[in-house]
Amino acid sequence: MKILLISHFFPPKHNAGTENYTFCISKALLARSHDVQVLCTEGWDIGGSYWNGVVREFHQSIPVTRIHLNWNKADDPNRVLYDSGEVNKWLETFLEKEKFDIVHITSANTFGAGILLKIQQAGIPSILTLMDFWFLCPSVQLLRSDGSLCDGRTTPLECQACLMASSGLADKLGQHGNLHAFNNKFLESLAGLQFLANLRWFRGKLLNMSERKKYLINALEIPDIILSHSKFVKKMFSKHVDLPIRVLRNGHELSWMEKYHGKTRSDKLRFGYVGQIIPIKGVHILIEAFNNKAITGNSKLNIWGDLTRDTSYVETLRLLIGNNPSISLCGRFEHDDLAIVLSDIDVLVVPSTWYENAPLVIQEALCYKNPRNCDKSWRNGRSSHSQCEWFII
Amino acid sequence: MSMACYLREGMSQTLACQIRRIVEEPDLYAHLVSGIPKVKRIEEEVVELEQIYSTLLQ
Repeated sequence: MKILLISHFFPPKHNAGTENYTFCISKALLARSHDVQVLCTEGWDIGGSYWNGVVREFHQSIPVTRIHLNWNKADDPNRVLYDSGEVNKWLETFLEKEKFDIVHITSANTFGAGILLKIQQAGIPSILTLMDFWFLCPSVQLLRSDGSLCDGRTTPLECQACLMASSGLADKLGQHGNLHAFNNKFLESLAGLQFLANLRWFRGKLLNMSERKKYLINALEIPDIILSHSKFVKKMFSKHVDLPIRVLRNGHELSWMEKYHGKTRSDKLRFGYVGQIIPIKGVHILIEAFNNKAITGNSKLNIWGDLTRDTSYVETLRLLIGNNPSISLCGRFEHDDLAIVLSDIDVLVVPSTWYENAPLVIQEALCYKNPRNCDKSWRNGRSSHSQCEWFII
Repeated sequence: MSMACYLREGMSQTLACQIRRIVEEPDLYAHLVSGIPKVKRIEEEVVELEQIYSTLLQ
């Protein structure tokens, strides 16, 4: 089969869950003699114009077509965040030329949902795997600006207020006690003024949410099959659309386990965090918890992840850790060395503040028989994994 | 601390309780490990995807 996989980003520069998953299935499909190609975007906030050209190359034998985009430079930067006329036009020609049998989308986030219609118009069957909540939420994570969880059943104005609350403008006005000014209808009229979209404070924040909501929900009706890796994500989307969503548990590329030679010995119970060091991952919550005096005596906590991505957050973490000798910030590691990292962890903690979907690191840790103390315990059981008997509630 | 970095009341305390349970209840760790299911390999998923793709091409 000639298969096109579409992901917002792709390795080697991008290695988060969706990118890694797309890489793994493309590699596995290639190994089964399919004609596989990947389409992704690159740059995203780099480059002199919105469209900065198309590069075709190979990544570990996988043919990859990368569209270099800089959304900040688009004529209407807020519109291209969910529908891009330029991408749609280019894709039409690309599909016509390549004649794929199947298109499988793991993320349309940077392309816009218009690509679904173009694939349908080209007469190619399509599959959409729901990896996050982009179709429901412009911030992708269904996490409000105050850190509380959302289910996406919001009015357009509520979404706009949420977006604006996380903008620099809101911070500015908030200092003067005027944050509530965003909580009214004037936002809707502002969203219609395209010139505002190009201003720093409104770029990416002042979306026409009425249109976005309608456009993306309608787009979900286009794919021939919608897949989800968890029952939870299916349930969340089922609140918005009456469409069949099939749960297909994701698989894992486990060749790196060859480096695992058993758990190392320790006289302490070793807790670990592995992942991105950013606020939504809740590393600060884990540190706060671990600072509990009753815990630190006979256990330790190692935090693994890139410490350079959000340096102000890392500084916050360092302040929280203080002089606690039981907590270490260990920095990043190569994925090939995951076996070595996990061999020093007895309990993996996933303290995320957003819903998550099916975090790869949990499944990877399970390969080593590391139980997982998950973040969902304080959320009244709203978990995508609550059916597992080893899950602590 | 940024807005997204709020510590909602009770979050860290609840997590601390769970961590304490694992540290203090000797049998809990072994019980949790024994319940860990088999992890699905990518090769298994790709076979399922192939079936889905084939269905669409029929």
